[in-house]
Amino acid sequence: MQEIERFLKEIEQRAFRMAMLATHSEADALDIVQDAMIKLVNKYNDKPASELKPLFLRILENSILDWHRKEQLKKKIFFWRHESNKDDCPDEKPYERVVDESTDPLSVLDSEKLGEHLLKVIEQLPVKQQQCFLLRSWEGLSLKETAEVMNINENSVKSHYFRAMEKLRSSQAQWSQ
Amino acid sequence: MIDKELEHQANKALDKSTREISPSVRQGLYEARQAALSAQNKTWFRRPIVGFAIAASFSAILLVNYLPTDLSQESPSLPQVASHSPNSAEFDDFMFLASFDETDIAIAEDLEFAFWLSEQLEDDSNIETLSDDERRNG
Repeated sequence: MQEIERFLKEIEQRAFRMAMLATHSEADALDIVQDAMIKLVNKYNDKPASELKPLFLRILENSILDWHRKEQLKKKIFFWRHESNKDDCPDEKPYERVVDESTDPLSVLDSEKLGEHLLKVIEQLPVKQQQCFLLRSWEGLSLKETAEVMNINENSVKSHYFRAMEKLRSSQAQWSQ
Repeated sequence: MIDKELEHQANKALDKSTREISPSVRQGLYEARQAALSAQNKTWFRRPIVGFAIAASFSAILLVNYLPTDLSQESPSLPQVASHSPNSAEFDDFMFLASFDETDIAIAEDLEFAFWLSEQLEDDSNIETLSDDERRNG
């Protein structure tokens, strides 16, 4: 198996999840991931495996931003038939019980519900804050790497990340009450 | 809850939701990956060197088809009708007149009129001279 194929196999599901959080649509998320894969294969096939991840994430983030721009344009042009597409993912399953975290069923249930709640908050974040949070926190990229992937300066990354965390904190506080 | 713990909870939820991706989406991702990898094999013709080679081939074909095969061969000329005609002087006159435009013809007519007028005036002066001589001789 080629290096690039192995890399794509490893990252495709996480990439889909990121695209899905941004688009709320399975079909659009799949299209975005496929486009990103094609661009990576066509342009950076000869790159070493260590460089593939930031390149792929950069392509993916740009594709997501492009999708958002097009959607906003569509909403402006066809403003009279704008509908929310939050219910475009009927296949999404309710979360299963996590058994390895704690033996206390109530604690597990709380953790599960909090996770579900946090996912919804992440889904509702503005796209830049969402990308910033996912890259920094979920993908574990450094401040510099995140700035490079998002093509913004490090201060903007800090600002987006801070706002995302602020929303998660306040949402978690409301949920706890 | 501190930020680290909050992040941990969020990441855990993200990992979990990724693991729970439906089989239809997994199949879609597999197909997307295969499409991307097969696109890699099809794009050989997009490479600059191959594109240049194709363009050069087309140019060569065009040159071969549209250039004359023998460069020393002269282009065909109009048949020399005048030289073979029995009345070549008349034909030359005809060609000369045919090459006139309207302005040239008008000038020619003026010249012809001027020539006729000068002849008339010359005749009149001759008549007058003769009549004077007759009077003198009486």
